[in-house]
Amino acid sequence: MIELNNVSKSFVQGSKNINVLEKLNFELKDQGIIALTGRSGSGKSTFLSLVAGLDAPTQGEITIAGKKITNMSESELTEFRAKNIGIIFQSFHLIDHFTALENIMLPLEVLGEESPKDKALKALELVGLSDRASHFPKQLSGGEKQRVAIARAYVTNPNIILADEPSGNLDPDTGESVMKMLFETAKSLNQTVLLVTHDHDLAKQCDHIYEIKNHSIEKL
Amino acid sequence: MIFVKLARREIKNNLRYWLFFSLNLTIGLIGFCSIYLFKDTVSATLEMKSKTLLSSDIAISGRRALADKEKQQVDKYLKDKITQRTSLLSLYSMGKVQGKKSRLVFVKSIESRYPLIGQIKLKDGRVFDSEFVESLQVNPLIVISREISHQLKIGKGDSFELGQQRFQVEGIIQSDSTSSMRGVNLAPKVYIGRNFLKKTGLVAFGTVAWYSDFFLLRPDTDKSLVEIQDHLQSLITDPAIKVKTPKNSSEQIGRVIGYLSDYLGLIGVIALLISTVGAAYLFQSYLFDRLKQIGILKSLGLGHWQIAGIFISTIVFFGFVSSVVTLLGAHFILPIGLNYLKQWMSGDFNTQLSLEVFFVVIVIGVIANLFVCLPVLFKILKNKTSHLLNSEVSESFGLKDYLLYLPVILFLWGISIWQAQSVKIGSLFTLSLIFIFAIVLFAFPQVLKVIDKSLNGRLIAQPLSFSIGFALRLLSRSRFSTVLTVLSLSVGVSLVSVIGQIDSSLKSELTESKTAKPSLFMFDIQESQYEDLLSLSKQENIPLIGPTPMVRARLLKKNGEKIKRIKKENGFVTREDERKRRFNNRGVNLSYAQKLNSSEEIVAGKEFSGSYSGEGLAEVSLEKRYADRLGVSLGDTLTYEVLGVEVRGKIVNLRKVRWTSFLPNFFIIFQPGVLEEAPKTYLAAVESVDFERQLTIQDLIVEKFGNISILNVTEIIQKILSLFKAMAIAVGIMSVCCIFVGLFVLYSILQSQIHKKQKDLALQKIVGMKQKEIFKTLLVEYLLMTIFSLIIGNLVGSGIAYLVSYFFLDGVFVYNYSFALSFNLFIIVMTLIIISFSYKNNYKRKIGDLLLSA
Repeated sequence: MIELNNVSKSFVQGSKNINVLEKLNFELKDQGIIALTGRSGSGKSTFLSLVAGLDAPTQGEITIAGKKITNMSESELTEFRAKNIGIIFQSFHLIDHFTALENIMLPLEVLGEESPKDKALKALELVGLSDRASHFPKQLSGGEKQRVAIARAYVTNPNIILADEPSGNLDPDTGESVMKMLFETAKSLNQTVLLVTHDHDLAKQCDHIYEIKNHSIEKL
Repeated sequence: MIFVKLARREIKNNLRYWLFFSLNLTIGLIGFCSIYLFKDTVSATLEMKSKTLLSSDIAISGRRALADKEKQQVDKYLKDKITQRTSLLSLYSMGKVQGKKSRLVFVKSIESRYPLIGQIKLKDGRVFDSEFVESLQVNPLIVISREISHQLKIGKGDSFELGQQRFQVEGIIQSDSTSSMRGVNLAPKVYIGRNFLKKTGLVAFGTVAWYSDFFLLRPDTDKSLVEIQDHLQSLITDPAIKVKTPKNSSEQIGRVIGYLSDYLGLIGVIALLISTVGAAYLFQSYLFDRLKQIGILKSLGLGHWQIAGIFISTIVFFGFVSSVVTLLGAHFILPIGLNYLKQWMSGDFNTQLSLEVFFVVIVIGVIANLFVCLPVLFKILKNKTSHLLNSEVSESFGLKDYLLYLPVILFLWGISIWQAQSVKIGSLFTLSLIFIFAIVLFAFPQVLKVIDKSLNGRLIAQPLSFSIGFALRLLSRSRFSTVLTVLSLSVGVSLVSVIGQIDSSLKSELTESKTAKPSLFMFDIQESQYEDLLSLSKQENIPLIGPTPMVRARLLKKNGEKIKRIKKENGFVTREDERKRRFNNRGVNLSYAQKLNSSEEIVAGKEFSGSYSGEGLAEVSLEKRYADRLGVSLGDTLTYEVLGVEVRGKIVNLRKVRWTSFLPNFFIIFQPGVLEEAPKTYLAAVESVDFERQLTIQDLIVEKFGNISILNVTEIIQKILSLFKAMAIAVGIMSVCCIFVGLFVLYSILQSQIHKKQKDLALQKIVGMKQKEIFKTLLVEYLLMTIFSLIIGNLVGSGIAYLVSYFFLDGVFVYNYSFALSFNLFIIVMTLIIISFSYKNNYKRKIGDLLLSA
């Protein structure tokens, strides 16, 4: 499903060139919930950004669901992402001026799906926020925001969901309940999720665990 | 001091923003400074032109010669202030050509050095230099006007009699810079030497003559023209003797200079406002990006004033930088630009930066900026720390929040009055701005609320399309940001719109007329000739306007109180006070009529009831602005002296007069039945006719009425219009300068808005919105905001322009459709370009980058 071939990513910081990923080769064929762990600064989030097409590698090729995304134009990438990838960010990234319902309806309407409102309402129900449909992000708690973000990622039924530390901005209890909901939803929809986390306990609950270390990814 | 350290860090970390802030301010200040300097230059040029009309720097003139005591006092005061002087004695007299009919002429007997300023040129190319004027003193020579030459068919070498003296025509005037539009100067003139005036025997006891003394001031005199004028007026208490400066030498030119001064003041105020609107917007948008940072500082224990100190010191620093850059630019670059303008404007250009300019630029750069930026800062600081940490800010506005803007309003009000030198214009401006604020802050959010409500529970693709639905949601729900953007844009649009609309009204008032201007102007029509003239005009099909009676009078009392010459007060005097003072001190021409002519319109009160019955007070109609300056209104009584007889009248209506119609108009008109018995002459005009017809009519009238003076108005109008047109060009250049500043500010506002959209753009890409869709959404959002701003800005701007035209320009408001269309189109196209450009730049960027920089 995900294939990285000789992928490097470096950043220029001041006069320094920092190599975050270096000639990384990786192939993910597993389904279910997959955890990617690693220490801070190991390149987990960078890896996720590259796979999501949010950022481009300095060199190398990335293939998702059989399509080379590194050769795609920005518009092709946007279209591909809409159909194949759902993303959940640590800091939620909801559109502030859209209600919870509208935030979830948005990707459905973009894809031109039928009955977007019904589907969005169902997704809201799935994450337990039916009564929050007309609330704006600033009227929701952190946990509720993340649930809306999860519903938005799931609602288009993508090939894979990429989640970057979804509980990172939440208190432990809320984080736990959000993760529980994420796992349950993935299982009920038979959805593949690549979860980036530094939390080993959380990783243990996943179907597969990979660790990023010294510019390579190993399955644990 | 911690805040200085933090301010330094603030500047270092956000140098790009602050440089942009400073650039915006610098451009505004440069615009303001150019207008400020240009205003001086234009005023100086006009003053120069009006000096040539007066033929000196200062003149004392009246219907009697100065008494010995007055003369001594004047001489004593002016002794060390003048370089040259001359005098003129002018009077009406019949001129005769042997074997031909006589003709009324305006005799100007001159001394050496006349005119001190300006030039009188003869048809054969000679000019009135000292040698020529001297020859008039030693030989019985006369110089005649073209009108006389044509009407009496005489030329160089022919003889011409004035009283007991026979003169030989020495030349025919080609051009005379001392012409003016005052009635008495409209007669065809002749010049003779003063020595020969006595020999004509025309000056005898009781002769009506005008005595003028002209003075050329030393360039280094420490007193201003106005100070000298005021002092001389205090020495000569008789209102019948006037001390004239170039500005009030001619009503027509004086009014034109008045127009321009009002308008220039207005442009100055607008340039100032536009630059501060830009600064205020950029600063508030910067602060909104830093809510979290402010929250952190508060949570770390920094007090409100310490946090405010960071931003205040930064604003002051960059305000100062902008001011210095502006002053350097003004010193080195503006002279080049101003010199370029020499092709349109004559005279010396003021490229020196006076202390006043230094002061103004520093004040606007530093203090004005602080005044407009601080209310937002204090409003933000009032928010709870927890809210600020979440980058949230209360959108509700209480009375205290509005009070924060009070210093800005007072500052703007004060500076507007000072710049426009008019309480009315300054206040009108401030009120208009408050009006825009009220519309945008109170009414506009209600519109947004209604839109928001109608969108609830509907698909994003509703109403109409995905882009429209999306854009409407963003607009109506980010109310605070939308309102601030629309507020800044609409203020900018309205100010530019004011400039464009007044520009057109002013140009139209100065250079065009709805009705064709008359070709000939006749005066000194005697009462006995009235009927004959009317029958001649019928017989010969002469398109006559009038005749209108004219009675010379002097205002004695206002509401029973005796009029005294108002002395000028020291210190700041508004234009309104200055005009009132001048109007109080003049002699007047009265007229009477039952109906108004085509250039008049009653604006208050009622028409005359009919002829005066002889009981009670007579009805009087006053020109509106004249009444304002005289300090009288409907119901007030005025007492005039007409050749020793007192005539009392009650004001029953106020009229608006379009003076540039060049029709015989009067400030004061009595109802019929009051002045008929007073000694009077008539004025009349002949409608616009071609040159051949003008000559025929002239000959017909001279043939039948030898004493009637006829003047070819077309020629004089051309002269005045050429000055008006030069002014119109000047006004145009200044307007363009101001519009340029406005457009840059609008560009800054839009650019800064787009910059803030990076997170939205990233999220739109994440959910898979296509490039075209994102662009359309962005376009719709900003076009809607721009259109809202254009609607509000144009309405308010045109409203202000209408009021200014109505109250201050004497004129009918002329809506400039082409300006409105091109300006609005330009703004829309500019919005499209900025959005396309900004979108292109941002769309190419990776989502990660966009999220990071958002």
